[in-house]
Amino acid sequence: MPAALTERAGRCGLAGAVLVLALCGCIALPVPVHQAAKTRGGSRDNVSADSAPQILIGQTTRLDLLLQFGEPDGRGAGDQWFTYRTHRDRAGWHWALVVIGIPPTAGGAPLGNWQRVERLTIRFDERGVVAAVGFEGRNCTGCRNVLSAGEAAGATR
Amino acid sequence: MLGAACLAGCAATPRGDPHLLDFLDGAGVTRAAAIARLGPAYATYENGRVVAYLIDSGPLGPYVAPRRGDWRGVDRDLILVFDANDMLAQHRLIPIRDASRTH
Repeated sequence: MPAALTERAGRCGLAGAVLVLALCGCIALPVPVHQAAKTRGGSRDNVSADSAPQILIGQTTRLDLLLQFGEPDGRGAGDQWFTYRTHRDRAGWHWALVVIGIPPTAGGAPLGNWQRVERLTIRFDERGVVAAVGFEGRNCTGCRNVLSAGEAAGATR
Repeated sequence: MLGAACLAGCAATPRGDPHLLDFLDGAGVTRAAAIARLGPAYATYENGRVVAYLIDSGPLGPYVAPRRGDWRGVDRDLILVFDANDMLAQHRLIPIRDASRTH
């Protein structure tokens, strides 16, 4: 066997060995998240995608919304718009990467999108009547600042 | 010694009042009476006509929860609507979060 080929085979073998050593402590495990998973942290429970159809453009007032859903999570200057936000775990099976190292230590990280954030944005006219309703939702993990930056930008209905 | 006794007493005081919100169902509730009973409102809307309080459930009943940046430690939102004469015209206690969950 030519020396160059032997050297190349040796390098590949070494690289393979390093790769195997690096990966041997990593395991991807499925993790069940209960169907009754609740919202996370300080998120409200009482607003969801089903809430949007209950809000009627030209009929529902700002007071109606306050009495139905409570205070908003965000409000614009002069209460021109309200936002209601939720942040919840997604029910079902999700994958997690578990890393076991030497000396015995362990860690893990979620793989994929375990959570969902949703935001309902309602714009009002000068009389305090609903002028537009928008709903935005996204699956994510960690979920910091994943929705559009403009609070009222989603009011499109 | 006295301080320790006071602290022990505070720590043992259960929160809540089962009759905290009973007055809302009475006739002729004024804005002043509401503030006297519940304290300053958490937030106001509609030029002050609508006021809001955060309510949580303690071992003895509901209590007005402190203001925070989110809904942690709150399970209901109390909305009071006053008329032009500062008389209570409407009120509603809205469930915001499942009361059984941990804070």
